[in-house]
Amino acid sequence: MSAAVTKQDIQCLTFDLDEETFAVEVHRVREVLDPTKVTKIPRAPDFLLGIINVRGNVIPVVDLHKKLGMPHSNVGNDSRIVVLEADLDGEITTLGALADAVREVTDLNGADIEPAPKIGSRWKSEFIEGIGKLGEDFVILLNIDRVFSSEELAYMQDVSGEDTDDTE
Amino acid sequence: MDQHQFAFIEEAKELLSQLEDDLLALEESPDNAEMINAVFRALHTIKGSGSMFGFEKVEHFTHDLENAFEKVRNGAVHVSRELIDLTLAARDEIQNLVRIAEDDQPDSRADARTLILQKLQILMGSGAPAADHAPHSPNVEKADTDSTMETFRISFRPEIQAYAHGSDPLLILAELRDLGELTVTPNLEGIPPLETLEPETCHFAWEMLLKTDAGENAVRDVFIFVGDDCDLEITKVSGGAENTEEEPGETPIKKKESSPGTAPAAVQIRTKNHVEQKNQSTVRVPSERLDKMVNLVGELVIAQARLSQLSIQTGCPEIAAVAEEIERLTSDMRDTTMGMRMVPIGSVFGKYKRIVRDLARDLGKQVEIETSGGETELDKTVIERLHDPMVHLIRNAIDHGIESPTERTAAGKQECGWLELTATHSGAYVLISVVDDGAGLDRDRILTKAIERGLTAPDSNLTDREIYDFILQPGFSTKQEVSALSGRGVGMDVVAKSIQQLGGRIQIDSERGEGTTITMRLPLTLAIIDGLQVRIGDSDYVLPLGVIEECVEMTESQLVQDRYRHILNLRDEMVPYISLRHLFGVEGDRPNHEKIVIINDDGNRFGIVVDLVVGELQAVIKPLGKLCRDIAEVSGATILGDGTVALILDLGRIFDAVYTIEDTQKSK
Repeated sequence: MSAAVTKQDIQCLTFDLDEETFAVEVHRVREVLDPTKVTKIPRAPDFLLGIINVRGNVIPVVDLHKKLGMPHSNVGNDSRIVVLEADLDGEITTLGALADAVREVTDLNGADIEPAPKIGSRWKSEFIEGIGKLGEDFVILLNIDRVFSSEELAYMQDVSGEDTDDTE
Repeated sequence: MDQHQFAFIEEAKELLSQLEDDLLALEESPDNAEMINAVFRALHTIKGSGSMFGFEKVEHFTHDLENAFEKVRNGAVHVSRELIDLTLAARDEIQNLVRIAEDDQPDSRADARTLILQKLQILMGSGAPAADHAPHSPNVEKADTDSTMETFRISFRPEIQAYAHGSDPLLILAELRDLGELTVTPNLEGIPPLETLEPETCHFAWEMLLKTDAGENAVRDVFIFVGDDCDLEITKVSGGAENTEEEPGETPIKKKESSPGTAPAAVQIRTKNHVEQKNQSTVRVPSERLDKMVNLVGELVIAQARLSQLSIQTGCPEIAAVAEEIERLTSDMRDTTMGMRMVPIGSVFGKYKRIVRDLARDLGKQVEIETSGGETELDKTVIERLHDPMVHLIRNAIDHGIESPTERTAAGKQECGWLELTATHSGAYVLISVVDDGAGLDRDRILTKAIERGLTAPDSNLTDREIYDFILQPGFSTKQEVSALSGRGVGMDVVAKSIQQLGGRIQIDSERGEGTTITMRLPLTLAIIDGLQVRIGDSDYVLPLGVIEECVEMTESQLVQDRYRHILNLRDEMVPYISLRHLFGVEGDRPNHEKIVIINDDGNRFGIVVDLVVGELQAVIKPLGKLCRDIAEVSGATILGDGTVALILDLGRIFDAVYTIEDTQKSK
């Protein structure tokens, strides 16, 4: 993923999170599912909503709101689970991301994609591949691999931190 | 590469591991003629099938090796440590050649092979076995035996199905002819009249007189591939047969030592296609097909669960009957399929013998290895993934555990150290132990180090086992210097982690000066288990049925509570219990009648409080994937009949988690 460098058009799936439009490269998307019953995992980090059954395979579902530091929103009529393939430290992992709504598959003009601003952004800039434009609207192109791997260690500490909290 | 070549590679791998075992056994008892013959036969078979399927390098190298070994077989050279060393090294080279052929890599080990052959040559004295690089026709058998002319009477009748099995008796006759002067008289008595003659059956027999200087072994080797499948009689009619005093270089070979009937490895090749043969009991199946089969059975089990649920919902007795029938069939099918994946662990114990031997030699230590319970069966995947941890434990035991001979003598022990690998069944688990009689773990040093690293409080009252468990922590080492053997990046923490990923646990017992025992407790299978489905709140969980003793209703009168522990009075026995609702922080009210499932996990007896016991089920274990890998209480997930996912709980870890927390609370 080097969109900002190659300036080629990128085919993306766009979806909404908390009134913002995000995009992921379409070849990372396996499918889009209606919300289904998610089995919670006890003592899991809070961004991990649980696991679901996708045709015989068990995949985790992640709350991107939590991951990106947005307020949690409830599952609504338009909510969808976007099943993605992410590269977690060299291991291709299938996971579901809960989105408030899924919009469309579209081409982002590579020339319009700007690198993420280092400051003034609401989100950690390492999660953002670039910011593109669709008409008048801004679209935030996510770097799926980084969203899920960079905080791996941090979250493991979170979990052990919770453990000690329990004992207090 | 065609399918036959693949078959050869598989065959060769087996033969090579057999060869390794035989060589190690031969080292133990150097005069065992049976073992010498077994080694010879393995070499011969590798050579033979290697040439048959076009693996020339394998064939040539093995041929030279075989020639060298011929001297051992006829007693001219005795089995020595050096010989075994060299032959083992040569075996590794053959393995290399096979691997190269399999992966289609360039061969870079030609020099190493020549070196081995040269060393062998020196060991064998004169006779230059390695010098023989002439094109390999079958008459090379006689290259290194300087025997005199002998005459053999050979009576040979191939089995009736010989053609169907792909053997051509004429090739055998031609091979005999290469050995010397051959007179053949066909025996046509067995040929039926034309109208009843089946053209694809073999009714011929031959009486032959062979005058050769190749020796009886060479003659018998011609028949090595037809082995049991024919009537064969070889008698010596003249020459050195009657002499009673042994001449150097030509020891008369006792007939029983080389009878073709004792050549199972060789015979195997030719019996592979015997469909009609009665004693045919094994079929070679690629492991991917087995894996696929297991996956299918897994899906079948899930589908069956859905059917059972539907049949309950509809309440139609006819459907219920079918659903029950299918449930029984899937359960049987699951057991059978799982059984196919089970491999006796003895198959890998052999490999470790070699590692022990080589390591001990490199470290200048003497180690005797003993294995027991090799027949214990484990899932193929478990055995494969067990290899690295096992090697690490064995390395540790020899490197850090067992002392040098001088230290041992000083400590009043036998010079030779002792290492034992054992495997035993225990319920739904298999226990595999690596036991050594070395120095044992230094309890105090581990404790000091643990306190230094802040892993425990100085005043905490820990049991020995808890202290030993610190060595499973990442980066924990009491060793000052890093030796070449340990410190290769695989620490005990990696071992612990691999065992954990297999759903197992490690237990360490050690006695200072007496030795260390490391026990790995592993589940029998990773694919499907019998489970008990329970419900807490609106979530379903699966408990492994193997550790469950009983389910009881929870009544207030049974409960004994103190500040830290929840104890249940079960028929006058005190059993601690854990509330999953509390542990998992499930919201909502407790139901009026909670149930307690009594668990007996590896000696820990405790209860698990749940809202509802739903019933038994066959749970197809699905991995949770990387994101959820570090959640210890959950060992996997399974898909229920209604398509939702239930978590499979690791009860041992839940127990550990709860009681470590409570212990630390108390110590605070």
